Amino acid sequence: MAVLGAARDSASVPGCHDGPVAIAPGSPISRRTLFAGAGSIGAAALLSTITGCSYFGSDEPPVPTVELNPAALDPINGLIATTRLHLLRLNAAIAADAADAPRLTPLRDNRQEQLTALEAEYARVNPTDPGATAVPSSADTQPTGSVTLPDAPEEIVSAVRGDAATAQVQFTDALSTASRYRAALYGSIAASLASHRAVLA
Amino acid sequence: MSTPTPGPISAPASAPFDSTDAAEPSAESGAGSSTAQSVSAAPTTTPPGPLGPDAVTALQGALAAEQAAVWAYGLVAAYARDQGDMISQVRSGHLLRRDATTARLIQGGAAAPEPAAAYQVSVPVTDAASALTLAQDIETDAAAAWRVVIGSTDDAELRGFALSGLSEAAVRLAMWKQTVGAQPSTLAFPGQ
Repeated sequence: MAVLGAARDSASVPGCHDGPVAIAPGSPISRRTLFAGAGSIGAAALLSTITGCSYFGSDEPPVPTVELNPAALDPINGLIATTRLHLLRLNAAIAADAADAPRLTPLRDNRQEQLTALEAEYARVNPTDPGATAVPSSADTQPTGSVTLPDAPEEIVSAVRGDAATAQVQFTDALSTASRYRAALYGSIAASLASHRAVLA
Repeated sequence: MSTPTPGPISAPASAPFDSTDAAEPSAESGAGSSTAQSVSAAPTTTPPGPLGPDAVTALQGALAAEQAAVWAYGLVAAYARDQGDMISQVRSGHLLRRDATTARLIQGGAAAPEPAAAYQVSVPVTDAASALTLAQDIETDAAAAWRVVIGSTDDAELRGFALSGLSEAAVRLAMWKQTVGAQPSTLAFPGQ
């Protein structure tokens, strides 16, 4: 009895902070709790002002941080890139394989004409793109850079033939969804590439 | 350009359309065309549908070009006898494509005109050289006709079909140019 009585006396000491923290329903809210809640709401409001997000949500549409460039989505870009790359490889092949240069040079000239036409078509459809020129000059469209080719002449020709096959597939695939004007252009280039493969066979 | 134009038409020179010949032109259609066929074959998953008026006109033009090619290669064969095997292969390719084009027109609900009895060529064919010049003209005309078909329709199946014709013509044209030693043997934009 003495132990139990001592414990009851200890819990009832005024000013002790070791008691339960839960507030019973219906009990009054302390001044400290009230200030803490008000401070949280104020901080959230301040944060929402800084970040632009509303604490309670908003009907305002989100502002995109990245704007899409429609010109970059033009599928002709992939065809232009492929043609540029293959021009580079043809130039390298002509420089590396003197014996086959007379056979490869007309093919290179064809690809150069095709690149010029593709870039002109891009500029026609995307006149506001600062990177597009309405009538690209030969100097503008002359690709620069270096590529690696095999050493053996027959392997070089084989690589060029493989490039023509790759490009032919790419232009053929692009045919189905292109506009009529572009479809005729792509089809003509694909047919030209078929003849390149035949010449190199 | 020496475009073979239909001359005075007397009686139809060809037999009525035979459905057994209406196959897609195969790799036999010309030297080198097998490589073109392997990647430019028309998608065949979708059955051919009705043809629009632009496509009908263009396809009938392509049919006329193929009919003229079949006739003209007979003339070429008469003078370029050294190239007999090659001419035979090429002519067979044009026959197959002519029949496939006829079938496509009929499937699309359009008329397939009969070929003319004879055609007028712009260059007189008197020897092997002029015959091979005519062969190049034939392929140039065929390429132009098929390119028009591609640009006349939004139908992916028909575009693929026309691309096969255009590619075959481009390959044959390059082949003939190589045969006669013409440079360059390839074009940047066949059919343009």
